[in-house]
Amino acid sequence: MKAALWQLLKNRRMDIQQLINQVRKGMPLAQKEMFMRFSPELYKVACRYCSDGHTANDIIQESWIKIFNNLSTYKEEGKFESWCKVIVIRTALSHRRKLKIHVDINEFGFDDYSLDPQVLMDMKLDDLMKVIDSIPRDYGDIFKLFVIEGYSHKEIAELLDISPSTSRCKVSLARKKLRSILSHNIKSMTI
Amino acid sequence: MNYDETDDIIAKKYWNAEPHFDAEGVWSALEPRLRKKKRRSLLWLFMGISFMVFMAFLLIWTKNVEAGGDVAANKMAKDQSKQEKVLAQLGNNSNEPQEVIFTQEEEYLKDKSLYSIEEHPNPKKSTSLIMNVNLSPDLSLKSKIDDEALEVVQSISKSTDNDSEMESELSTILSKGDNFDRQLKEVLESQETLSIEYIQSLTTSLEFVRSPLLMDGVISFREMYPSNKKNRYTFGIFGGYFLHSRSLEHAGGVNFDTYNSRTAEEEALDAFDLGIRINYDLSDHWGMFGGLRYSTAFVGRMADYVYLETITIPEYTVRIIQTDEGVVEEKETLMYDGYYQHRSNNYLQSKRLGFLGGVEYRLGEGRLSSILNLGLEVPLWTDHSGIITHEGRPYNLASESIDIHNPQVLVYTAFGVRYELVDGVGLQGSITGFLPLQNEYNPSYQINKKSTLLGANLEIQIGL
Repeated sequence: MKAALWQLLKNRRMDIQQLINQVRKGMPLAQKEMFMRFSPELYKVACRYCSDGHTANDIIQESWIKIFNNLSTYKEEGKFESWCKVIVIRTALSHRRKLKIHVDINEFGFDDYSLDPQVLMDMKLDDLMKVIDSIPRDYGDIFKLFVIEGYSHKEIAELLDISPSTSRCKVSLARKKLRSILSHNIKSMTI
Repeated sequence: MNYDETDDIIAKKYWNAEPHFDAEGVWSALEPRLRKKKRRSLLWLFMGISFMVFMAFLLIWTKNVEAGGDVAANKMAKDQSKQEKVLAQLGNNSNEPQEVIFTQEEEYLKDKSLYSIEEHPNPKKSTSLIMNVNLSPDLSLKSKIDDEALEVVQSISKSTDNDSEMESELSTILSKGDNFDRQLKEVLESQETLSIEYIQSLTTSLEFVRSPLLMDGVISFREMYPSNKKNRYTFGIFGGYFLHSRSLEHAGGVNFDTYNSRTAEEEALDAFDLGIRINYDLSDHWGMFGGLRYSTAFVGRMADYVYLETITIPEYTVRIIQTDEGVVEEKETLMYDGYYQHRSNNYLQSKRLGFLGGVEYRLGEGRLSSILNLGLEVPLWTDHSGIITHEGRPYNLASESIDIHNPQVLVYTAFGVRYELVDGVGLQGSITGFLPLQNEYNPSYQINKKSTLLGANLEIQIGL
């Protein structure tokens, strides 16, 4: 019955500030509403940093526990969604660090290959993700933060505790690496 | 192809991805983990209480050992003094042992003080472990429509899973006012009844009272079981500091009481009380008291259920029509009467500074004693504000903010009876209540409806 009522009420959106206040008061139903409202977008973010849906679900769970526990520290200076997104990204990156996947950055070299845009457009997302994940983790993560999440180098530097120039450098190398891998793949397919 | 183009294509591919997310599944896995943390905090609370109880017993044991030595020394001095006085009365200054014989009982009684160790001037010197069992009937005029409304919603829900279809069906029923509508109305109207809700709670607390400077500290844990089967967990800390003298029962005190209540998924209540109170004994039976009380309360509620109620929504339509004769303004007023399926969220913040004054009457005979308090709390300053949000269908009402200034005079009553089973062990029962004199808009009305809370408690006090 509760589920049916929830379904019935799910479109009744309240102001985000009211919702935050309710969650701060520890109301379980408000927690659920907050989870249901923001999780789909946050799940998309988690998927970008996870190899499979199961891991993304774990990341989402861990992130929400952090969000609920640290809601009192949310200063309401920026958008709430952005604050949640940072937590998801931090959790996902932390999880990735534990995996200790080593990929040699020198594989395929750093030659700046030209790339046909149509090839990239025709490429399936799963294949593209595999290619990006084959870039060494440090480079790939910063590349995603810059290109997909739209963070500036300064923001990335604050997020990962590195310097902005390091971020800039790694994005540049990641781009070259990406082109290099894609060109090799296309060549091997052509041959 | 430059880098920006590559970046754009990659970003768009990621943004357009729509991975399947099983929200309900993840939530059902996450929810127990969130609750688990709460249980852990309760465990810490219990451990804290246990530690305090242990420390209290340790303190009492140490005090008793010290007190035992004092009592013995005091008794020896008194015995010496008694012996000297009796010998003087007998006119015998010799140091040889004499047999003291009292021939008249009255004489013995008159001089009884010589033979007894004086009682402590302050009988309140004690350390007590108090266990409270509270039974609070909450008299409320409640509209018992929730279940009926749920059945209606369920019946419509069963017919379709589609939200818009459901809304349309409900609107159709309401607009036609057909037989079903009338039947529903009758059901709703007939169900408004006076109900009495009992809230049982178990409170354990530890209280220290020491004289002549009295300190009073209580830490308590209350677990309440409302009759609606929803568990309500409350914990509170009460602390106080009281000055004491012979003429003034309590020369001054300050106390605070803060507690947090959670009724499963629907209500939050935070309250804070700070007060100072002076008691003055006019005679053996009569006393008076006066003081200030500052209280704040936050009540939040997000209804977890859907219910229907009869509402009238006026809708005004104004049309401006340009004709050959000029501008014509048409007004149309529509009134909707229907059942409004809604969800309400209330947040009410109440602050109040009041002067509390009154008289008390004490009566005691043997082991039975009673006390009656009667007083008024007059508001010196109040501030109530809150927000009520109604959301529902088929009509959506916007949030409304309320700002109420309705100082209420409260009648304060308390009656307690205590029976001391053996020295230091007593049974105590009391009834207290704050009754509003005015029955105007009260912020709590939105939460508790028309209710007046009367509390009664049975207290077992073990003096140590």
